[in-house]
Amino acid sequence: MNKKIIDCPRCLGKGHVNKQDIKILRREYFWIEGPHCAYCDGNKQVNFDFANKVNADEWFLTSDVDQQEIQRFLNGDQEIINSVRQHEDYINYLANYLMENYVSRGVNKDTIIERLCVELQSTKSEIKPIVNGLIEQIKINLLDSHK
Amino acid sequence: MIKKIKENFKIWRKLKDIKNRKEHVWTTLKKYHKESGNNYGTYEKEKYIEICFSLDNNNKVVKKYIHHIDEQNDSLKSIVYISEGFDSDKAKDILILASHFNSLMNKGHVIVNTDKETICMEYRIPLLIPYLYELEIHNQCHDHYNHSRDIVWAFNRLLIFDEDPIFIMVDLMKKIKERVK
Repeated sequence: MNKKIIDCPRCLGKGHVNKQDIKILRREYFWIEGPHCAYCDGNKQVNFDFANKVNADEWFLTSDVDQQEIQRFLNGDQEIINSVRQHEDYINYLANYLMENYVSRGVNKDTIIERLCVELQSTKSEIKPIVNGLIEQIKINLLDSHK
Repeated sequence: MIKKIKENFKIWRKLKDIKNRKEHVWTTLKKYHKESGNNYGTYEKEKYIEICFSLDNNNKVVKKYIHHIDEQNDSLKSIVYISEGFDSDKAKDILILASHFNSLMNKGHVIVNTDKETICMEYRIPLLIPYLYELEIHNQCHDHYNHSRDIVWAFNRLLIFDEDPIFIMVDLMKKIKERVK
């Protein structure tokens, strides 16, 4: 086992993740900047073995996820890994849909939610909070220069 | 001197064949876009070219541009779609912002359709101008794109960031002043 310690590849040794880190790791649809890096637990450094095993851009590894679930994920629990990958695809699909329709075509939010409900055969109450959250993230991470 | 005479002779010859201006401008417009190397779609029957451009540094805000030979109005139109379905609750602010632009712009105008809930910005020149002076096609496409950047920026602040039209205009003026410096 390699005991080598390296600078955190996610926050690059700062102990917190900023917008630039999010941009580099292309996680604009998943994270917002915060005071604590979940990858190194704010320690600025990580074990080389850990960095080798878990990708720095692993979106699921964040401060607001339950520690038990993270542990299951790190232990290779297939059920949770599948669910994380599915959720990742789902968020990417929704975010790209919003970028195309809400940002580029200027279609209003309610129309987009209605269309998504039909397309994904889902309910308004299910889609609305996700869309609202994603729009906020897009505004913070991608459109700040447009402000 | 000889060059000037040649140019005038060319214009005079074109004026003799003025009936073909639509076809001529349409062919020149297609040639211009082909030479530009951008990806675009051509609609032969309707005589328009559709092209998408990014308007921000992240290449995330992409808008659809149309360059159209309007046979009915005998003009060359350049249109950018700013919104293809805005929130009707924002109609008042959208109209205020559009009227600010329309009173300040010396070229083109912002068109708000409250029934279809669309916003677009249009440049229009009589077909005779690009027919006689082909460079005007480039000028129109280029100016329209550059102008649209500010207008899309302003409307995005209203549509996405819910800001007040007055503050948007003040910030836009500041932005333009800094750019001119």
